[in-house]
Amino acid sequence: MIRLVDVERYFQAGPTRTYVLRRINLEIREGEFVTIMGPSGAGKSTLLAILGLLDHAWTGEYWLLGQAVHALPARRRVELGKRHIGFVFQKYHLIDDLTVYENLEIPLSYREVRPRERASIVAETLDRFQMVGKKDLFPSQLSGGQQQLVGVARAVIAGPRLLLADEPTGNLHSAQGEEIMELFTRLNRQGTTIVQVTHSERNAAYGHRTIHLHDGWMVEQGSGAVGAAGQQGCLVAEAGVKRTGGAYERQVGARGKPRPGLLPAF
Amino acid sequence: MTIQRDLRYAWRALRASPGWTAVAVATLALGIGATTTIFTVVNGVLLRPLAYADPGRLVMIWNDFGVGAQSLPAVSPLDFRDYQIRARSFEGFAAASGAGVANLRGNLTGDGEPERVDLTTVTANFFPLLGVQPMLGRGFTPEEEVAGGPHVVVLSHRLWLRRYGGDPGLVGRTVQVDGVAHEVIGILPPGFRLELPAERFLVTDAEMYAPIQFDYGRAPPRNFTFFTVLGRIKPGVTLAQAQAEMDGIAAQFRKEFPEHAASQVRIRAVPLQQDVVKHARPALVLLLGAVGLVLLIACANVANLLLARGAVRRPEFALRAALGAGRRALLRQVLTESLVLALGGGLLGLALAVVALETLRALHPANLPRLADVQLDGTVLLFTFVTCTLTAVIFGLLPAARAAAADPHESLQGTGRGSAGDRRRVRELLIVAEVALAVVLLVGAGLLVRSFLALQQVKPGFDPHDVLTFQLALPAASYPGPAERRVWLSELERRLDALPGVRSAGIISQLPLSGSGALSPFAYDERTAREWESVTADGRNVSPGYFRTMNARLLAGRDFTEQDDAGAPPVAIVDEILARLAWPGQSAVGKRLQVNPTGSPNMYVEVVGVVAHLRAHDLTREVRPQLYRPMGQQTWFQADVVVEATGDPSAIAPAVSGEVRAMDRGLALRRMTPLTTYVEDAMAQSRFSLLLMAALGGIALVLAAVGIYGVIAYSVSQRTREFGIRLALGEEPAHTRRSVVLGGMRLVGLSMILGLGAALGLARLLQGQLYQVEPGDPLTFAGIGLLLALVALLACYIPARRATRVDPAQALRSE
Repeated sequence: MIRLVDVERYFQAGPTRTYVLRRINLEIREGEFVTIMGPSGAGKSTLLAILGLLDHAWTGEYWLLGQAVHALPARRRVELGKRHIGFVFQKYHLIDDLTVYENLEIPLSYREVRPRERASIVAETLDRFQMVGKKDLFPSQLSGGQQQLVGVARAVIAGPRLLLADEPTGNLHSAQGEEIMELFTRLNRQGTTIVQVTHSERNAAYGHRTIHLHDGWMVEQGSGAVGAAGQQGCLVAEAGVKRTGGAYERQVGARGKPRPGLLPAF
Repeated sequence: MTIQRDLRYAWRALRASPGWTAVAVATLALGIGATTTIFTVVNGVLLRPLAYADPGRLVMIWNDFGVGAQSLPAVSPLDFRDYQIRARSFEGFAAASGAGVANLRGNLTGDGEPERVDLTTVTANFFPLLGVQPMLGRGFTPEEEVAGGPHVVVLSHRLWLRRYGGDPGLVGRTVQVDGVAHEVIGILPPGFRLELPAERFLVTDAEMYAPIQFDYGRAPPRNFTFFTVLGRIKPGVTLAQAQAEMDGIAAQFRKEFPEHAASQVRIRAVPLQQDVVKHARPALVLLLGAVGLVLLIACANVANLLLARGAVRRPEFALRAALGAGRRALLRQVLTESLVLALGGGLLGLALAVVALETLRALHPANLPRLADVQLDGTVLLFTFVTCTLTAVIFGLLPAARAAAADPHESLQGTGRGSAGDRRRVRELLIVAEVALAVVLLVGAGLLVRSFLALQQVKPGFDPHDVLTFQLALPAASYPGPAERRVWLSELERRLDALPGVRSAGIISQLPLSGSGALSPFAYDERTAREWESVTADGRNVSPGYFRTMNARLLAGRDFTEQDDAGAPPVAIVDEILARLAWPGQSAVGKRLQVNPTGSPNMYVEVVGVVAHLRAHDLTREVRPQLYRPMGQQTWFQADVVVEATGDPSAIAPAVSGEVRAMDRGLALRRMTPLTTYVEDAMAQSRFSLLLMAALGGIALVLAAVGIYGVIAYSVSQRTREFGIRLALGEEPAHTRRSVVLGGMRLVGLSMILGLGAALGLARLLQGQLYQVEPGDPLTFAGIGLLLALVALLACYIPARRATRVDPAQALRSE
């Protein structure tokens, strides 16, 4: 579904370049539940934003559902993102002036779904997420967990094939967080590809595999603990660095090309 | 459905920030309301064409006298006749004059209480020349214009409604005017106003019109000018061509008529509209400039408010973009909000304009013609509404457009880079500009305040306090000659003087500050005698009690007495200006003054007294010398009576009216009012300009303060984390406050330098409006600078205090 080839992201300040992501090579199959982990500043959210077509200032190749995103103009990328991607934010990012119903309706209105159809979809989603009784409430009248639930519902309401979640339980307590993760698992089982960024090993365990980032480099890919799906279908990246016994080794990729650049040994 | 939804969301978004929305709407309303009001007044007074047919071809005829450099909007009857015969560039000339020309006074009796109305006499072609048709009946015919012609009158619409209940059957009936039956032949249309320049002599926007029944065969010399003459230029003839012809006619007059040769008369044709509004123009143009500044300030404020709001909403725009909103959807949403804001501001501004116009009409200075008829101008309202709406739309859309172009990710993370500094600079630039403009306005208002305060201290030469006045006009039928008038007026003065509560009474032919009056040429040596009319004075007839009642200072000689009557040697009292002019360094008492042209009977009078100059036309300057004749030797039919009370003048009004009625039941008193009213009316235009400038200055100050507060408050909100860190590291709150205030005052300081510099340059434009104040008055500049600094300090201090209330833990945690 997703293939990144030598994707890099940096910020230019005068003559200095500050890299946030270095040579990311990654493949994600449809139906996978992938976790991205790493310390603060590793570039996790940036990688997620690139996957979600919210950040356009990167270099390299990005293939999404067979389309060369890197070759598309910004407007086409936005259209592509609208069609296939839903985003769940850590801080919920609900619109405070809109009710639950209206927050759910917003993505549909931006996709020019007709009003009657919108109403039907929103009603169905409210029912599916058991929020019918809260449809006229404003975000300020909901708990954190309820707001995140609305955030998740909003992200999936347009039926995206790819769901991106940035620290979806970061502002929730454990019980609420578990609920959200169980919901993700159910969605994944129903066919939605999910990529989440998290600090929580517990949350990571819900996924099929985990990608570790460190200082912008992808340092490890491993399978997650057996989750609800119980699958280990991950692909090895073309080139990556695997952490073994406290040191990092370079791996030669399938094409046999060594990749330059060394990381310090730990 | 989309529009409804957008409107719903816009309303909700604005309601979510009630303080911001209120300030934005109020700013728009003030800008729209103030601009609409002033533009409406300027348009109505200066630009709106006179309500006559083809008003652009109407001119006022002036006589300019080369000798003495005088100009009068008055023509002699014989000259008027000659214009009609000699001029080819004009369709015609028409004349108007006072009631006295037809030996009328305007006293209405019968059909109710006796009432004295303004009565103007006109030639038969006067209304047709203006293109005015009576609403009922007809106008005058040439046959009615001859001396001894029928007694006919045309009434104004307002008199017809007020006194006769709008009775359509009145046409053809008679009314009693000065005790004589006059047939009402026509009623003028509603809204008709006789609009003439302020210098007009004897002619008013009357309630009753009678034909000029003048015997041209017994006309006085051509230097007796008491006809107000209008001309209508023929189509296809330019003003320059018409003027050239009048120049030729004047040259003929100078050759043919000795009085015109002596005075070197010139004839000037002035477009009537230009002549009517010329005195109001400087003040109104000034106000127009001032309100333009207010509009700019309001737009700058709205722009700043919207830019700040846009910056705060950047994450929301980014979120919407992340949720799939395209550029068009974002811009449409913001456009809707801006339009709702503009509509709110526009409606409130319209309400403000309506109230402001009513207030201005109530103030109604006499020198601001046509104000009573000014109506709210839809075009002006639309213009200002569109201006403010465009501002709201442009500055509302800018942040949304930027957000739509940016990557949503950075904005969502709150790490939007690159353009924050530019936006701050733009907002600071707007603040500097609007505060500088406010300084310019405030300096203008300050100068006018100082000028008005100086004006209030002016000594008019008389003491208006405790003096009651009223006007009388003795009808010819009851008082056919000067002797009858003299006897009656003397008796009136005596009886009023004897009333309880009255300290003194007096009579004059025309009160000071009550309009243009008779001019009396005089001569004091060979040159002035030869160049007769080269010097003129305000000529007035007064009773012995007048100067005493007015508390005018007698500087030399004596006052008039009862002995200065028709049988005594002719005498006069002059004012100090005439005395200085005629006999510099000498006493004027005992000197001989020529008051009639050489060769006339009773050429000379003896000066028996000198009084201090009484400000008769303008409180701020001495316009003309004054020459007083005793009522016993020269009595007019018109009399202005002054009665000094021992207390409140209104308390003696019933007794005074009763005394007049007891002497003549059919005589109507007119304009019974304290003398202070005349002084206040003389200050009316200054007060009017001052009030408006002060109001505009106040609005500018409020807007500038709001703008400064907004910028500083926004800056504080953006630096919450920084303040939290500083406080956590041990910075004193006072130091934090100081840094915020200094940052704001730095902007204000720059604005003040720019503003005071601009004000210094522009204050020269106020020169004509100022009295005893120089445009560069340091006290005013310093005062305004201090005022603005204090207001700005307060506007900076409030958010600065908020900066020190930041909870460091909270600030750091939210990061």
